[in-house]
Amino acid sequence: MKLSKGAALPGVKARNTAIKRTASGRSRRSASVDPAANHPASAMQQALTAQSGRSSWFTGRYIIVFLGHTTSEAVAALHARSGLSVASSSDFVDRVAVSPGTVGSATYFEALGVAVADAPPDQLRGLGVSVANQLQIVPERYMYAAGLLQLERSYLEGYRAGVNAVLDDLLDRNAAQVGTSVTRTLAAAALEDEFTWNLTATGVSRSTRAGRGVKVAVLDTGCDLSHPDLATRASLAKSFVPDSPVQDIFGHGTHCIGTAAGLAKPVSHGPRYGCASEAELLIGKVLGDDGHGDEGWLLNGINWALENNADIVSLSIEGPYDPASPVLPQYEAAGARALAAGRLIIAAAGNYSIRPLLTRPVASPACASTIMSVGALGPDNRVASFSCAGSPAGAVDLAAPGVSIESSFPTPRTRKVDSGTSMAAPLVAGIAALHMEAEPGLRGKPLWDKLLITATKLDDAEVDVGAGCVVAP
Amino acid sequence: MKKRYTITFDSKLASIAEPLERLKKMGVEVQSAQHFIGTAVVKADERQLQRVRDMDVIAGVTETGSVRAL
Repeated sequence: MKLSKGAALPGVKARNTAIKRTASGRSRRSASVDPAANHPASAMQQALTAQSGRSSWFTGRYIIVFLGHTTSEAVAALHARSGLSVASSSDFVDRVAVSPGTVGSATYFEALGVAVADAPPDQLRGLGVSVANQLQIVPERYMYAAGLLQLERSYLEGYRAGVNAVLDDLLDRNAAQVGTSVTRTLAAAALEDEFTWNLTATGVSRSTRAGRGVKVAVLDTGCDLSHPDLATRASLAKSFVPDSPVQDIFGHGTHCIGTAAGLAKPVSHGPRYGCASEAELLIGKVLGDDGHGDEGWLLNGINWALENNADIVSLSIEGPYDPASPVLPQYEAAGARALAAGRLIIAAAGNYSIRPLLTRPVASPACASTIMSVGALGPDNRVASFSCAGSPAGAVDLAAPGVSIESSFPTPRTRKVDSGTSMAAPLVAGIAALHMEAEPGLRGKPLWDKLLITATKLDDAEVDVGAGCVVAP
Repeated sequence: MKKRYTITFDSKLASIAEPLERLKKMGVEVQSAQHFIGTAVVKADERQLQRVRDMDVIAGVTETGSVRAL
């Protein structure tokens, strides 16, 4: 879910437009009757003029493909016609070359007949004059690993399994001989067995609060109402998806609900993962069984939650996004009316960044100034690679653990480890309920302020994590 | 051609009931109304949309979009 393209974001829109201009320009030229237009030299000049400089898509370097050249001819042409300092892969140990490291240099990959040049376009134009029929030049692009976050999650799960296996082995083999060090390890392991890491990291594991007397609404894909940990939790549930019961098929809603308000002593096997375990839980299904929905369903759900006196509304949802006007009046209004009534809407900031390569702005509806926007943290307390960043259109207000978060999942699986700002927002919602219980009368904007004031300051910039990591009372 | 729009009413309104009635009289199809947050999802053509925009109780009009799990 996290790497899907999503609605057009400002930066994306601009980049796509630039690429379309390049593509359509080439297309028009190809269709031209001017024979010179199809000449390789012309095509190469177009490549050099179409994209120069660095961006999120292009590295600023160029790939030069030689056709029918020997290595010595290619290296000589690069050096003589463009003045580049050229290294060949044949010069490297095992013939494994590295990309050029300095401007004005090139590396020729002998087995491929390809060179990568780090040089301004003007410096490469000379090549077109000399050997235009026998080479092609294209801008070098960044390559993004599809499923990067899936890989990250799998890696972390594998890492955890590996650590657990080593620990089990150590305990089995050394139980009779070990002293205090393993006793401490046992204590740490016991804590991990008792609470998921996000509850430990935010102090929920130490809190005596459970959200008593507070109404928390989670609007998402519904809930597995037969789940052993959630079957007794819902005080009110309603589906806004036509012809679809509240029962969650997709799983996203069940996961978010578990984090926000799962049981303190879950029936399913494993550590506690729920925060506001005694809050009154309102469940609104506003997304269909494919995880998608109509904006009208979401607005109906928000309205229903507030009409039913929800103190806190949690949204792990991305709504429509208009790059020309990112902040939509309907969400500004919904958040403002909620605050005016002493309620608080909390929303996931979005998962569209690919750090450190690029950051993307907070998604809608989280970007509304009247809705609290929540970014995601990893176990190292650093901003998660996918977490969206604040922009002039909307800030990240607060952050919470959002990587490798264990929570409930529709039966028969019962639990799942997942990552995303979707996992961070419901934890903030649950912790907000703990604060409300701790300080009766604390609600709406003062509750918002309390969450920010009590947050743990982090090393990452405010634009990425807002006031810091949420902390339970 | 009719399209779906999300209308946000002026936050100063105590109730959106009256403006909703005005929309219906214009021939605008009100598909859903969210009284607490002051919004409505409607279906209207270009001519009707212009009349909606001209109403003095409208804070914003956007084309109704889709939402999804993050």
